Amino acid sequence: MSEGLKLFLSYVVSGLVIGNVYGLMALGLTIILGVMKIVNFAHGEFYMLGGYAAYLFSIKLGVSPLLSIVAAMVIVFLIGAFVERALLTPFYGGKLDRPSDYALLMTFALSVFLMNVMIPIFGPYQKSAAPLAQGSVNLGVVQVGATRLLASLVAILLMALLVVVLKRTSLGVALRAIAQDRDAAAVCGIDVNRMNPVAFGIGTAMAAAAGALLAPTFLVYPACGTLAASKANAILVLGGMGSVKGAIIGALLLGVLEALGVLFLTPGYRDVYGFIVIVLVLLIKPTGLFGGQEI
Amino acid sequence: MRLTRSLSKLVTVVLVLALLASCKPASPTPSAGPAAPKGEPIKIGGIGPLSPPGTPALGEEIMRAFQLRIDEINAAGGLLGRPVELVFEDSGGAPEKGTAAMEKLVNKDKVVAVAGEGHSSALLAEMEVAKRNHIVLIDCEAWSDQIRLRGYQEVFAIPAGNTMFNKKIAEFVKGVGFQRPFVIGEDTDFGIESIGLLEKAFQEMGLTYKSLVVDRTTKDFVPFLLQAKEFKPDILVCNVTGVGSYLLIKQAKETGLAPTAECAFFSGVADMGYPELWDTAAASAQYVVWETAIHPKAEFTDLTKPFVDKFTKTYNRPPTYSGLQAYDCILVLEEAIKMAGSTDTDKLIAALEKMKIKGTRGEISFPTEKGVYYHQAYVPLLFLQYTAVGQTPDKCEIVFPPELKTAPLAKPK
Repeated sequence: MSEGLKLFLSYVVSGLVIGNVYGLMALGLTIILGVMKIVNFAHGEFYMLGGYAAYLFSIKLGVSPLLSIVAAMVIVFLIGAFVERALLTPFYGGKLDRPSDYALLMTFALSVFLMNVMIPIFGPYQKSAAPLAQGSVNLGVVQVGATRLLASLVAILLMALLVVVLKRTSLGVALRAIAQDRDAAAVCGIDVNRMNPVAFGIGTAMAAAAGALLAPTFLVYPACGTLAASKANAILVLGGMGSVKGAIIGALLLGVLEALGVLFLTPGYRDVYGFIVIVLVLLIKPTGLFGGQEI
Repeated sequence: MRLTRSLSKLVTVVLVLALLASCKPASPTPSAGPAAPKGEPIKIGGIGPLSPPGTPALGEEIMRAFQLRIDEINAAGGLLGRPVELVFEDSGGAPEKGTAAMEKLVNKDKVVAVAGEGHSSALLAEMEVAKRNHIVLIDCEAWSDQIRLRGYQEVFAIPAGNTMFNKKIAEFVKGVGFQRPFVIGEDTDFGIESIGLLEKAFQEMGLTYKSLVVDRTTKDFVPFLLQAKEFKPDILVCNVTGVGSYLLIKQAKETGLAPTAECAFFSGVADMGYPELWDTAAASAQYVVWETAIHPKAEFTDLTKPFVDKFTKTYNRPPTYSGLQAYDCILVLEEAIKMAGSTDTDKLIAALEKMKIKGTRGEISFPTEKGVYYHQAYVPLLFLQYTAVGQTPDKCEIVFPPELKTAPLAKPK
């Protein structure tokens, strides 16, 4: 194998390994957007909460790393559901002139609040959760941290689980029905108001899972969710807002696009290449690659 | 349903109020001791990163060292018969936040002088406020040569400038016998300047080198490290501050690049001296080489140990060289006010330019010749190496300069 090809494959593998975890986060964003028609600007902060929860459980309480991730998801699910009930219900109340602006401002304010409230609670210093595994794994073309690789595999598993829930369970059917047509779902007997906190909770739990999985690799600190959220939003737009298939494929595409940019241009602007392609995709196909398809 | 929503909202409001009430104030509480002198306090402004994207550990250390010296001044009767009060503001290590913090210190709090900062980009913005308002600014830990080259009479530098610092790195690289350095620098005034200076030095030395600039907020350094690996370096030189400095170590180890028997790892940032290094980078940090101005085997003056001991006792963690520099900042301001007999800026500047005082790292004086050493105090620099996991800085071996070396550079098996 030529050195150039080996280097390209190493970038692709490296990009895909992390891309899967960001894809999980994007999936959460997709659920929220698809069901509730809200873009959650605090999604990165729920990622951050997941990281802190994983740190608390795995380091402070000595719980195993895998169980810590599950615990992080459960806790942030509950926080997400609470946030929806406390802050976002006016969006559906019918009393607001511009409910979208309300949701945007509220989630943005929540984002700023959560980021800053973590400083007095956990301090400004970065934390790390216990790693899922130690050492590195040689994949032939590239050596990858074992924790990072395992995080990627767990993310794939969680995404698969979520797809199964959406396709095969009554909860999933209800969420998909609401995503397609809220009023029609209500007429069919689905309690749409009860489903809102569930959808928001599932979405934030996905973000928390991503944060918990990446906590040992990228560390946890109050602003750690910002880049992750921008990647998740990029995937959301690339794949098509509200499309589960789009979120999964978008994540893989972003990883490959960034690898190509790094190889042929410079690694310095790695985080920009994906956005450039997104702009181009939106110019040609404004709904994203799989936009228009419901969850 | 209505009751559940109202209850949720009520709980939210109560939680928010409780969290706000628990927020700590920025400045540390002055320690209890003999009653401070009475009268209108002399307010000294402190500025530094207490939140990201800056390095909060650095900002907190600077603030604590400032308060320590100010407590000592007050315990000894104050300055000019008046108590001294520290007003510390968070710059976040960012230019826009630093500017706002400086404006507040100067125009609202009416401080007589300002000291601090650990990030060059922020200080370069803050010094414009200092110049515009004609107020003394003592740089505590920002290294950009531009800070000195601008030649502002109000600005004085305690830490090494990039020229001084990178000259030492180049001497270390050549002195230990490395031939293929790969430099990674952050996209700030400090990082970009460092790369330029090192490239020039390596070129003059005839070394084969390569360099990369990375976004300061990068978390995934693997693409950069893969590029470095392709170059097959024998030393990785990293000038990235904050969280990135720890992530680089972890990921360089994960990718099998450094530290290894074939490739050493050097980090030129203050973050290497903090215990958080072991919480985050863990075993990957073993064999990392880093620079500092303090080591028990290289004690500089009779002020060094008392300060180190007191800081360690008061705050339950030893200071890094940044703490010494911060303590020296207040020492020079204190001396300047005494020499001037006043807090007038022109008199303070004249006093600072004339002074030769003993600090914690050696004699402090500020040359007035314009250029890269303008108002720049001399700084001794040591290169240490962590040879065991969890090692504290005072147990590290000194690997450079040769006259102070305690052990040769260790390599992993």
